Amino acid sequence: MARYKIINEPIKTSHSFEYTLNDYVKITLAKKSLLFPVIEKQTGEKVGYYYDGPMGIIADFLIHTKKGAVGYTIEKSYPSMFLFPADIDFLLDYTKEAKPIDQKEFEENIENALHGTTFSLTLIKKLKSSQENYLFLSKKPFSVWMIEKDKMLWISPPKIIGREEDKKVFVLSPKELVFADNERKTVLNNEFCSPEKIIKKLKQWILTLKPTPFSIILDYL
Amino acid sequence: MSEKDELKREIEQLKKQNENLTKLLAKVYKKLGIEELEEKNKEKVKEKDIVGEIEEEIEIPIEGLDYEDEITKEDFEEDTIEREDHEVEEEEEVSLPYISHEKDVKKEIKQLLKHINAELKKVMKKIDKETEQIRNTTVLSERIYDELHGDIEILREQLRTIKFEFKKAQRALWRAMKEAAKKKEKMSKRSVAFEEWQLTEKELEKLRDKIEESKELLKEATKGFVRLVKRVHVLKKGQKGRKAEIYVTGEVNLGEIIGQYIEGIVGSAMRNLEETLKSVTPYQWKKEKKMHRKDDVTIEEIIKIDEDSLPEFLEKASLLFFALGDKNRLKLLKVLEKGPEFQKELSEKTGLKGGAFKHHTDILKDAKYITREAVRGRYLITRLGFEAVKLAELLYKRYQQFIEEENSYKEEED
Repeated sequence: MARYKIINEPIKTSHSFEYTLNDYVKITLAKKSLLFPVIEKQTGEKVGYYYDGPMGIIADFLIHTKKGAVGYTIEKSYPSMFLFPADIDFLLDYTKEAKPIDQKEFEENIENALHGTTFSLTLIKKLKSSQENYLFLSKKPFSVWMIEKDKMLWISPPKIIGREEDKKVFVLSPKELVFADNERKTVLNNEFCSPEKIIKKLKQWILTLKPTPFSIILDYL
Repeated sequence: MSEKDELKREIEQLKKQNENLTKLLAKVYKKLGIEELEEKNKEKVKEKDIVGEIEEEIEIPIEGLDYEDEITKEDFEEDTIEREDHEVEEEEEVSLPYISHEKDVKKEIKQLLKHINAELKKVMKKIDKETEQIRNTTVLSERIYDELHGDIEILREQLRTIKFEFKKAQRALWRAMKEAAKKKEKMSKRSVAFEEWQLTEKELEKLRDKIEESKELLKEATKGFVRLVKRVHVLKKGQKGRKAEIYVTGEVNLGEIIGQYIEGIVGSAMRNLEETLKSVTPYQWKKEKKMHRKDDVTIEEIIKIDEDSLPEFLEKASLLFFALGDKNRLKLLKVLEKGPEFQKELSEKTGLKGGAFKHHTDILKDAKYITREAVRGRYLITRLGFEAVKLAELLYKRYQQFIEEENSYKEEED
């Protein structure tokens, strides 16, 4: 994990707030919580933040089908989170500069947050190109949120849940695969579709791309 | 060297070779007294997919150069050269100015042909070498792949032009030989001049043979190009029994990839299920149709509740039917059956406002007939709610049927 590092130049949230990212996702950040910049070592470019404070995410993985709604709403809270990209609107609007914390405390608690994780520069740079793309990454509990304007993916092994606009949603769990579009809902149990096979395929797909875009998932899949 | 670099290098070299070939052809034209290569006489290159192009080219490797139209010695002797298109007609005004400088012409022709053959051989050697080297996997970015694709297309166009011009040169030569034959007849009486013509004729025949040889080499060069394009295509797309080796990386979209993959699995599973069911139970399906009358809406199977779960059944079932037991709530469900609605629109459509709206929606939520998005706040009907509405409709239809039957009995009694 030599490519990135967290630096002790934090900013902090001026007040607690709730922010709607798009039609499907809402986040809440707590008051006076610190955000430490994550920079790329080689260029010194700020790519994101490590948010050290409670964060809540509410997401609707719910679509209408001809025979009723399929899916559900997810509400999660995390003690800390990596936020990408660095130039997210609400980070600029609801934060102010803060003093660096004690260096020892920083080294013990914050700096090590990057250990055991890897990120994709490609993905992060792609996020930068659009203000409506977000990547949130929690180490404990492990959770990845990929949020675009009209799509969403939540990876919380062994579950993967995805949504595309108001048209499609799928829930992949060890027990079954549930897939729904506006026409119908399909449920496949392990006899027809093994989530392990899908995850294996996902791993293979990830490995074929160079540079590896989401190697953090490999650690947990 | 990476595959990407090798491919680029190969393309550049082929381009250079094509340029040399073009120049050589121009020289040949000069000697044959034909106009120089002009861009306005080039055929328009049609835009085709690589796959289509490859398939077409493998069957007929050289476009614009029909081997069926190949004029052999016999055709020449019979004087039956066909004129197909306007380019050929333009060449009818060919004259033979070289006849007066026989020795110089001989030399120059020989040198030209030597040069053409040497260049073509070089091209072939290079193609063989470089296609052998394309083995390793590589990753190309979309941009670079598009560039390569663009280069390949330019190369294809160049080759096509050269082939066309080659054919033109051939035809010009044949015209020249035809003219020579005509003049030969006229000069047959003058023995000295006749000998000269005979020599010239021989040289022309040799020239023709040499051009035929060059044509063969050009044909092989084209095949080499086709193989190259096909190889790039196979490397990118893969083939039966062979995986793709070039991965064109684009923007990462994990959700879409996963979604598409899962859709594929679901689709194939659904199809398999359908086929299995059809093959296994056709007789049963026919049987079931006989059991039902056209207007019969009875439920065939009744699910029995055992004694232990009876108290819970009584409580829950009464709640579920209570939720349906109000026309305003039924109205809400019927509206939501069509699609999700925001509170404002739902309120307008049902005529429920404020406290009344909240009251009824709370009851429906408790019964799990409706749900609400946390972010946008739209109301949606659940699958249970959908089934509840259908159950209500079923009961209503049975009620109507029952009333009709009752009325018909009463009429009979009267």
